[in-house]
Amino acid sequence: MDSIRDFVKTYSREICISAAVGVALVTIIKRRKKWIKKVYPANTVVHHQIGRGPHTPSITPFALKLETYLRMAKIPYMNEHDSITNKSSKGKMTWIEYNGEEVADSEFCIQYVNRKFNVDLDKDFSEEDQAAARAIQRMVDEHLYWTIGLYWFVYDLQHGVDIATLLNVPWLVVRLAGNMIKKQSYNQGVGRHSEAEVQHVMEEDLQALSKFLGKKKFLLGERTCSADCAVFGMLAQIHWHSPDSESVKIYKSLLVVEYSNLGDYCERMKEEFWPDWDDCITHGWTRKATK
Amino acid sequence: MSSIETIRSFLETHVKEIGAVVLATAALLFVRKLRQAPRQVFPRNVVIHHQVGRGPFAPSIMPFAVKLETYLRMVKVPYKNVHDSYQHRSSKGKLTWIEYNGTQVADSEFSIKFINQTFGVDPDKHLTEEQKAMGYAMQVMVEEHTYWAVTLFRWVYERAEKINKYLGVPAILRYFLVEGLRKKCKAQGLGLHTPQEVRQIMAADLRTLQSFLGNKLFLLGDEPCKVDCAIFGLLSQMYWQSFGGENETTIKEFPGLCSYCERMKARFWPDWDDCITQGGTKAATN
Repeated sequence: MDSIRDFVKTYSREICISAAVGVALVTIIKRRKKWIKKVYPANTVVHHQIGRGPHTPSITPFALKLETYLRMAKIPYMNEHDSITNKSSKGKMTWIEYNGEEVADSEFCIQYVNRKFNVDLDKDFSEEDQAAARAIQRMVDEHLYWTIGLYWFVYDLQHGVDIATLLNVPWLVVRLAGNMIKKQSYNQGVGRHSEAEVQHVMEEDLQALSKFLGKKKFLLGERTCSADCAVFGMLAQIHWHSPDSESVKIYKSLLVVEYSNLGDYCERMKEEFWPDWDDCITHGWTRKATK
Repeated sequence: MSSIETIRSFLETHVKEIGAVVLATAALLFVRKLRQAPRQVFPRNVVIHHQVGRGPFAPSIMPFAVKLETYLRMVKVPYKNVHDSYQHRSSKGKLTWIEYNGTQVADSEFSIKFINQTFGVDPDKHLTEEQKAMGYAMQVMVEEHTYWAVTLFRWVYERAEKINKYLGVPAILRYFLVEGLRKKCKAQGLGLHTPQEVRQIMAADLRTLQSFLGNKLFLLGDEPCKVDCAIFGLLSQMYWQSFGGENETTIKEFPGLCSYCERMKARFWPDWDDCITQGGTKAATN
């Protein structure tokens, strides 16, 4: 204690100067991205993402949802894989920019794109069908999402799955993400349950999806609707993720038992909107994605 | 001096102070345990529904308590309310939970499953698989999404001012309650949006519910089922207990949902007036 006090007294000026320089540096670095604003082509949606994934075009379901939507609606867009350091105003890692305007949150992005490009992929469905699809989207984005997050960043670690290598992120990032997901999901509610209960919640959501889809090609029949992007974005994470993850083991066992229509649905969506899938993944981090 | 030696010498020189702190902490914990009311003995074969107490204009200010109690009435299972969950929270820290012959179950959904298994009831057995799936998705939307928008308006944006007339929480505690909920809503995600965006989201969810309800009496047909309890749980808060706030203004834009609320109330709560405190002016008799 005394030695720390003495150190601070002797070097107080140097400590103050270092602190001021540190604060200035951080401020400058943070502001830098605003000063050096990249110029993007006009009338093109710039989709900010975190980068291509090992087995799916993105490991975040909302980026995959949004990009699938842009393809479904045939909107001119380009990807910018910079959102780890260039987050949106809400701190989210999936956001878009269009002619200088920034929009965060995948649902708001879709609504924005619909307005700007005068698109409505759902207009030919009945109101009841649209309502049903919207509820499915909410279930997938606000409920199933947490169970998958908990598996990837909390339970898989406990089961000894090497998530850091799977996702190609440092071990420390996985640990920090795990703490964040634990806290967030505890606040949200799902994280208060035991692992067995979370598994049950995940199975119930997948069961509801499967039963709702039934023998239909897509959620609402022969044609896709906007909610198909949300469901695909989320299911893709477990359909194509590493078989070591507990979430994938649960999913695959359900496919075998009864819910194989979910697997077929994923393959169908991939074929329809991602013919260039292989160029948009890193094949387990063995090569760069070309698109 | 190394840090370990520094710590050791600190401990040696401050033995009395450390001892006092340890004793005081132990005493506080002991007193806290003593102050917890002794566990009541409850009648057997009766579901004990732990709640926070009756609400001013709806049977509870907690949507999940209204859901659960409506469900108990729907399946006609013997139950008794014990309004003690502020002092006796569930194992998961939730304020709505049940206990039956000594077994405790937390979370309204797990409680419902437990009731179904224990009493062999199933109000949904007449539904098709697709209807059940649809009902499940609607329930998840309401409980995991709309719920947060309603919470943001009631507790965060309106700072619980309207509801606090009936809760009487002191200002300083209300501050911490509001800020705690703000953090929770941010963690969940909806709290990152602006109030206008949250209102838009809330209206979109209600529009979804109303469109799906259509001309039906209840969500999945002319007979109510489990998911109706969940929907009613949340909508009752918006319709009867928003005290002129944004939640009430929003639901009143959806007349289909307003009449749905009245229908559920008439069906399962004929004694509604005995289950509310009439704005805190009297004790609820039921």
